[in-house]
Amino acid sequence: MIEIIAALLMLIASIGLVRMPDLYLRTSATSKSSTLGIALIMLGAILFFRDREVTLLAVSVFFFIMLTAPIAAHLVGRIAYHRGVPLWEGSVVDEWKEKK
Amino acid sequence: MNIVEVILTVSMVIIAASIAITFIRVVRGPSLADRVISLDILTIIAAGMTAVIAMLAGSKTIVDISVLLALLSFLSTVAFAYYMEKERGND
Repeated sequence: MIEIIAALLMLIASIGLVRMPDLYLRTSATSKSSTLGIALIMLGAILFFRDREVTLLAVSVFFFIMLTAPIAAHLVGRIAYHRGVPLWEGSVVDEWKEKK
Repeated sequence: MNIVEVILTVSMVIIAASIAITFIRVVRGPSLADRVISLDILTIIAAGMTAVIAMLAGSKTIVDISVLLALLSFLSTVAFAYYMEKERGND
């Protein structure tokens, strides 16, 4: 059952990637959901194999993705703001623009 | 065909559908950053799919490919971000 829940989280991430109106909302939707999805898939692999090496590899994959997915999303979002990718018209605050 | 194989096959189908949906954003993304983000998510989904393939095949060595894909995802995103910052302004 863990694998089906993880696959549904991946499906939520890709649907959010298509349906969200803005680049910044897309990064917010996908980085969180896919991180939880990969964590549940690796938990399923640990419970399936019950082996020392697979446990080590799966825990290392989970920690690496949990560390780097927000960094990658923040990096791409910051550079896209500097390149002038527009915000959604329903956005309520833009602190970087008010500061200038 | 026991219950574990059924669950793994169903999750495999759902992950394949999510890869197909992600390709929509890769094809019609308005800016370059949309395509970079969708390729990043595509690599993470492929890492999860590789772990499911390892469980279906019952082989422990396929989990190594999942580690490799998780490392390559961050590296390729940082490389694309560096390239986007180098030639800023003509999007």
